[in-house]
Amino acid sequence: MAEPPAAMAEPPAEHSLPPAETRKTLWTALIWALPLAALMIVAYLAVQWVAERGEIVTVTFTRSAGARVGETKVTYQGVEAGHLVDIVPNKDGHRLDFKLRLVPEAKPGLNTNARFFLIGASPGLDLNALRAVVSGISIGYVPGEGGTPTRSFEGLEHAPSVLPGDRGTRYLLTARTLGSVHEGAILLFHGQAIGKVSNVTLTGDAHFRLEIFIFQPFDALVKPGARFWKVSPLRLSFANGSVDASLAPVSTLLPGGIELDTAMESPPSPQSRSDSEFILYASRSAAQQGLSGPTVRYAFEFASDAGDLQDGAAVTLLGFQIGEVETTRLAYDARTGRPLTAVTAVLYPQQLDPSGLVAGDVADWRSATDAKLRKLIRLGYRARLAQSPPLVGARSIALVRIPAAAPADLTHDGDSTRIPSAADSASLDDIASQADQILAKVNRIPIEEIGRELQIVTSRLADLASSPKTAESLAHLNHSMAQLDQMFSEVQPQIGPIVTKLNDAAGQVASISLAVKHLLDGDGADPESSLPEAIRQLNEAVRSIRTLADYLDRHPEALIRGKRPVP
Amino acid sequence: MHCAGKSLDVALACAITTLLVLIPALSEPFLTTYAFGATRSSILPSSVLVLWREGWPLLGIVFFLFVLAFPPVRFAALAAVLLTIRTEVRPRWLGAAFRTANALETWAMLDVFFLGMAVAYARLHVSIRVTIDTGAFCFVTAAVFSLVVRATLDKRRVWRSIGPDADPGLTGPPIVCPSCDRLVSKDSEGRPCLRCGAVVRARHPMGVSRTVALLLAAVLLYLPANFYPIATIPIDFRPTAYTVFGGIIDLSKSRLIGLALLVFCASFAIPILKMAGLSWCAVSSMRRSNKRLIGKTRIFRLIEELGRWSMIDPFTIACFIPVMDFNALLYGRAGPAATPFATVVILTTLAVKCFDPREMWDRAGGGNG
Repeated sequence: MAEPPAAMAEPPAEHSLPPAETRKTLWTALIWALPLAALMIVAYLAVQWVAERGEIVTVTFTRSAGARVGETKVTYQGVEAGHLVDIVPNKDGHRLDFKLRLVPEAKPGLNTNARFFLIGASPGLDLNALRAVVSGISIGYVPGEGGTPTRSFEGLEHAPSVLPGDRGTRYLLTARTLGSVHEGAILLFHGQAIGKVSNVTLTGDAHFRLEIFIFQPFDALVKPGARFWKVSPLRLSFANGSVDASLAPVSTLLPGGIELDTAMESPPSPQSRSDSEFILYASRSAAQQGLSGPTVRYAFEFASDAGDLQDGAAVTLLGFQIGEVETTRLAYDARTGRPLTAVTAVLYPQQLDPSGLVAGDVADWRSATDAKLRKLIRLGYRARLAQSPPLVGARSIALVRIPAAAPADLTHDGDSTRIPSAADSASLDDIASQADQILAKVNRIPIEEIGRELQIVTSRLADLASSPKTAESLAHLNHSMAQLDQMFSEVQPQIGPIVTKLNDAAGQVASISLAVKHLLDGDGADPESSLPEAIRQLNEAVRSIRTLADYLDRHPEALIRGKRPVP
Repeated sequence: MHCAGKSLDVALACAITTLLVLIPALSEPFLTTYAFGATRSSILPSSVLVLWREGWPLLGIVFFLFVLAFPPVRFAALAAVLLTIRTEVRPRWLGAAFRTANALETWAMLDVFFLGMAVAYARLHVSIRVTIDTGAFCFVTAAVFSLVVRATLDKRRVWRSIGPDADPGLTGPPIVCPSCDRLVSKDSEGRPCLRCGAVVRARHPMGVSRTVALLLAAVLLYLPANFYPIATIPIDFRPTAYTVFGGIIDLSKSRLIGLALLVFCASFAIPILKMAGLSWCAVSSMRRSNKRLIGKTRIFRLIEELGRWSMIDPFTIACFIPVMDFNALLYGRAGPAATPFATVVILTTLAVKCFDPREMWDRAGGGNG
């Protein structure tokens, strides 16, 4: 090893051959292009790697939802925008910090208005959930506009209903009950989806406050007279003796829906300001009655059985709704010890006197309404229980004029003000004990009218049960199921076999059939009120009402004496 | 002294190219699979992690050494040696470095992994979409250039540049260094070679018994290696476990006749040929047989050269495991036969290394007189 070895590379000297010629060919020079090219490629890849490293952001989620480091992607509108590099416990020890590496292009959108959310983490009917079953969840990202740049975010469980880029206006609704409306519920205007419910909070006084977002240009529809009401999957209304049935648009069946209508005004009023408050009515009819504005609470006492008076039942004057029942409870008269029904209801002064009591005019709604009611009471108006349609309809409270009523006034009892009830607001079962009035009463019972009403009710119910409208609605439902099928079949080449297998092995697709069942049942509805069931019940109702009508036709005295056992 | 097609410049250029291209090959994305809108992407080292995590530590280590560790070491050593001999300097480490580079020739399995990758791609391609990424392209380039290096490297010329082919004062019958073929005098047996540092021995004293021991172990492991499924992959969205031979049938059913033949040779024919051939050589050596010595030597040279290609199947598994992890139905996993199979290949290759074909000639000659 120590000797200079250079000589050894030379041809051995003992061969008497001429030394070999070495020629520099083009090849020997060209071969060095190879490592050079390799070096350039490596340098290029290195530069690219540095340039595409992108931003690391921290997003805090409450759960990992099956996210996997290195595999879970961050997507922006379905396009990969980064991936999950690490999950570490948050400093508070309850939540998880997701470290996401985003593409460099995401940098301008990384501000306080950007949103990160889990896609496919909750089981559902959409393609995302199905995909998540197959290939795990992904993290959605929406770049923010405006806002201050930041690198740490709060992750959302679902995609936000309103994305940071959406243009429109936010309004507030207050509702006493939510029903099937929840976050993500759709706002409809004459069947057109115009907005979404973006947030639902419970306010201190047991009301819900809904933030709604109405997209441009539909937000111009929201004017001071706008009315909002809940869309229920199947609506049967017996208001005013007529039957009205309608099926909600299928798109609202799962998330719930809110409908909006605006009053037609000749000078169009300007759009309401952002964050204006509106009332969310329980139904279309309630909205059309248009209870709005401030409320004043009053008490009523009824000697007859008013226990089945529903919360929210109407308080009417000449058929106009002026208030609604809040509570009904059993009470006893302090002096006589007689049982009675104590009712509290709220009146809407602006409904009571739409022209006289205008907002801004009146400083104290209570005293203004009291004054108005005193006038009515002096004219002989008293509260009494009413039923619409008579005898079989829901109970309500009506302010009716009783001729020759005993003088009365509003009575203040503690902090409640009581509106006097009609003394003879006894219900029909008291009549039997008042023998001298029987005939008068019988004469007064509008048997004919009831029979006619019932006939109308029954014929309309029968119509409804067999009406093409219902069939159409069912067909519509069928159609949307078909669309759902089509949606699956569009991804069939890939998904077909796996879905079959999933059914067999994993059973995870069971959630899909569950969701389809949900669709049929109407989201949030109890299983009893599924559509076929509802129709069956409707049929039964029709039959029993018809039976009752027939019976009443033959035995009108049963109204007084009760039904006799068949001899 | 130019041999046909051999040039140290070309070898050096290709060694440097291989080394450079290996950097992105090991760090850039390798394969990406797509299923139902989801993607799985791998880099080459992720195979080691996945194998280790999923309970195949031996496969992980084997993959790490043969694909990730040995090739860079070999080509770095080669490049260093070839660069140095272009200068006048002859540092002490030169011989050891070149010996290491040569020793790793068998074990640096870039080319074998390349074929494993091809098989993995073909297997995955039937069920889901696979794309070959930058890393894999660089890897293929590296594998090709590693073959060019192997073809163009004139080892004898390098050795001669490092040091003379024989001791200067060589007298009497010489013995040859097993690593660099340097001739040394018989009395320096058992001492390190002055040129390459390997211990010089005329014959390994325990060579044949070691071969037989390794061979027996390999034969025993060969049974589970073929009996159990070697891996599970989804075929028609059904997790399908396949044995070595079943995999060959699957490939031929998928009309990949070429790959089926390749895997048949690599995974089935070569191990059998290796074990049978080596047993023949070892037994004849023990029985001092002098029949068909030339044939046996030729077979030995053949199995020495071909043995490493049996690693295709384990490498196929290592290649698809990190990108086939979608869900309970769409996954790829190593099977119980994978470890025994890799062990069979390694044991038989070691057995071949331990066996010295000259032993057959010695003993045959000894038997005759």
